[in-house]
Amino acid sequence: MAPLNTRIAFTDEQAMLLETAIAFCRDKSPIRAVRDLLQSEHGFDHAVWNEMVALGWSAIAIPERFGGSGLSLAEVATITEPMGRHLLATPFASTQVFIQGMLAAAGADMQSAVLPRVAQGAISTSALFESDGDWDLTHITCLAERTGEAVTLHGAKTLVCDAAVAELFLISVLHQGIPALVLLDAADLPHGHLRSETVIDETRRSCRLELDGLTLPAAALITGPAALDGLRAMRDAALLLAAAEAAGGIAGVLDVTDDYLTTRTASHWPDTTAPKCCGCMARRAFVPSCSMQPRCCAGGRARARWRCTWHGHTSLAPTRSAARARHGRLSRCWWSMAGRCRCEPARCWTGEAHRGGATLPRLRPTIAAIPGKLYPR
Amino acid sequence: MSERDAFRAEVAAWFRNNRPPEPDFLLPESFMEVGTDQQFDYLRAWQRKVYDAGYLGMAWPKKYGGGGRPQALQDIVNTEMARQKVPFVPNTIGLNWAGPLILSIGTDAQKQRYIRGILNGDDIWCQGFSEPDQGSDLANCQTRATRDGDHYVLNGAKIWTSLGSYAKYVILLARTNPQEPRYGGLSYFLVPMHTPGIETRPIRKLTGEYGFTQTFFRDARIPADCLMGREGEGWKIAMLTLTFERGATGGQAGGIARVALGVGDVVELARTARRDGRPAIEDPVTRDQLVRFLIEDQGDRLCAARAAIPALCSERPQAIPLSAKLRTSEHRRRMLQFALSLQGANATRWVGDANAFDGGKWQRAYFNAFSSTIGGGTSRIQANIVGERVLGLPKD
Repeated sequence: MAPLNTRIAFTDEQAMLLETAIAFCRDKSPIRAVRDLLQSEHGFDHAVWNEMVALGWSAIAIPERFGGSGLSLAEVATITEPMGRHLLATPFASTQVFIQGMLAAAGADMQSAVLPRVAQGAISTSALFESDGDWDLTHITCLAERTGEAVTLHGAKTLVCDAAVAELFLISVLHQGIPALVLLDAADLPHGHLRSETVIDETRRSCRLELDGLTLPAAALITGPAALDGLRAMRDAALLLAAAEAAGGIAGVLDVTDDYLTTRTASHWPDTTAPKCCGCMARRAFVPSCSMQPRCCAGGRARARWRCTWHGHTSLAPTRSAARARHGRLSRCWWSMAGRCRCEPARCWTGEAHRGGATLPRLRPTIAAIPGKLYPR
Repeated sequence: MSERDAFRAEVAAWFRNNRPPEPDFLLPESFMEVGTDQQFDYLRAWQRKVYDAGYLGMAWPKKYGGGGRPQALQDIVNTEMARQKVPFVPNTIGLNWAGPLILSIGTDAQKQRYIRGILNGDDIWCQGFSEPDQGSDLANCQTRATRDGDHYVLNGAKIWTSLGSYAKYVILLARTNPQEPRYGGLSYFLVPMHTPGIETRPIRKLTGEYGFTQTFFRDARIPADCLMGREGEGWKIAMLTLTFERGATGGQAGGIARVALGVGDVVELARTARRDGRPAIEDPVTRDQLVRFLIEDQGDRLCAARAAIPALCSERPQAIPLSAKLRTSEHRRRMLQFALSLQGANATRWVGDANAFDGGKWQRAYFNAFSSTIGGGTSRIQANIVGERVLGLPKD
């Protein structure tokens, strides 16, 4: 058996994109913002999406002649990983899958009509699943009937990501018994054809798309081998981007776990045996404060111990940016809180000030559980 | 034999005719997820009904509210309840852990005071063992109970207190002697939850359900007769409670504690879900995996049956009960993960989605299956127990 290729080609361009993406996602998507967005109508911050468009990210894989950067899915996957790491939910992945489908299936006319819009930020998506939930995308029951210059659609697609905000849809249908694709503009979608779905991942939004009653110009239909190429390209793109996102997500989970393990210290003590502050304590206190500001009682110094997870430097500072400023920011420095100030905490999670070590109930996960309180960081 | 059959038929008929109507809200899987008043009232009313019919605590002494009848009859009732998938009875901690404990080592006064309320559901019990910093390391319990005249003053916090919002009593492990660092300084109390100074805060789980709470004790004064046994015996009594909890010791009041999706339901799911345009059960790989889960399930059941025959367990008598939780919870987690994989892209749907299989019960059960591998002694702890007590391996 021939050995699998293990040579990784990673260009300078990709490295630069990766570094920018890491910083961007980290800054734009702290966990607090993620939690706020879970409750929002569309599930993402339109301002952040617009910034990504302005950075040229949505157009990375669009050919230059249509206003894109002319790069490939490799670059798209590169910047998708940090998005997964920080749970940055935007219509980015949906739009990229659409673009790959268009590049593989659509003719020159359709591409030049549509791709420039996408390059300028039009949100787009694909409608590939049906109620069976079959992973084989060629198992389609939705029908497209062509009569003269029009095509009529029947059936329904499910799990259409970002459907509520998409301007363009690439939909898989069956035409004369063979898989085909049809391009739909949201302007041609009457009200009432989209119904919200409830999915496990609260950072995602998806809808059921009713096709019954939709009539489109015949030019919107893509048939023949091109349609199968398009389906294949969309499937491959979706799998790759999902894997990149998940890889980032797992790194993020490792981050959270590591941080939890390094900041978790034994903390309970009853009223009568209050430990002294600073330096002589056998047991330190950890306070899960909502604002994540480390507090210190005695000296009034607010400090925490920070550790750069890339290089291993340590610093004592009130906030991450102070640690970075004091230490100096090298490329790839990522400061994470490695421990609280060794003084007594001044506030417990209920907001009451405790001195002399009144019993402090604490456990990080329960902070997230209290309505209205946010998970630190 | 025919007496038993007649009894079984009578019980089957009673449950068939008396099971409560299906509610218009989703019932929780177990007592640990009873989070709304609706759910609680429904389940408590059901427990009362089952008790009034004489089907709970049948083997407990009549003097205290039990039935005074053979345990075998209670076993028949339990089996029938599970078979008919009637709603579970919510006072699990009282019926299965606290109740047997009180009957086993409690005073007559304690039995008079507590047993009847446990059986009819008037007094809901919860358990105060785990602390926010000490989950697995129970011996390091820091909640303090300080003697003050005729009272004890409680200070500290407990977490993962199932049914904490609804409980009347808590079985509490607290430290009476701070000089003794670990096992020696612990005592066991039966504490009324409505004591001033005791406060509960609900915890919302990953599934969106409530049911657990965090319980805070701030200068809560309880009468000294809440102490069970003597000061310093807390660890011993806690371990005894755990043997009841893990089913290693009998004497439970009966009923069922959960209505859970089982391997039979997974097989049905495989018939309904589709793979490559055909029912998933027709796919040979799926069938192979289903058979493995059937074998595991049957193996667990046979183990349970074998554990009741001492002659068959003479070499390692405690192996089966002590490994039960480890085996069954891990099997269940993998089985539910497999069940989700049968649903294809629809596995992503959550409770409340119009197109989720069985209303999203599979997804909920899958997430809750993770908590079963943690609560009541994590799988790692269970493995330690098996290693140390069954195989005699040296402690860490």
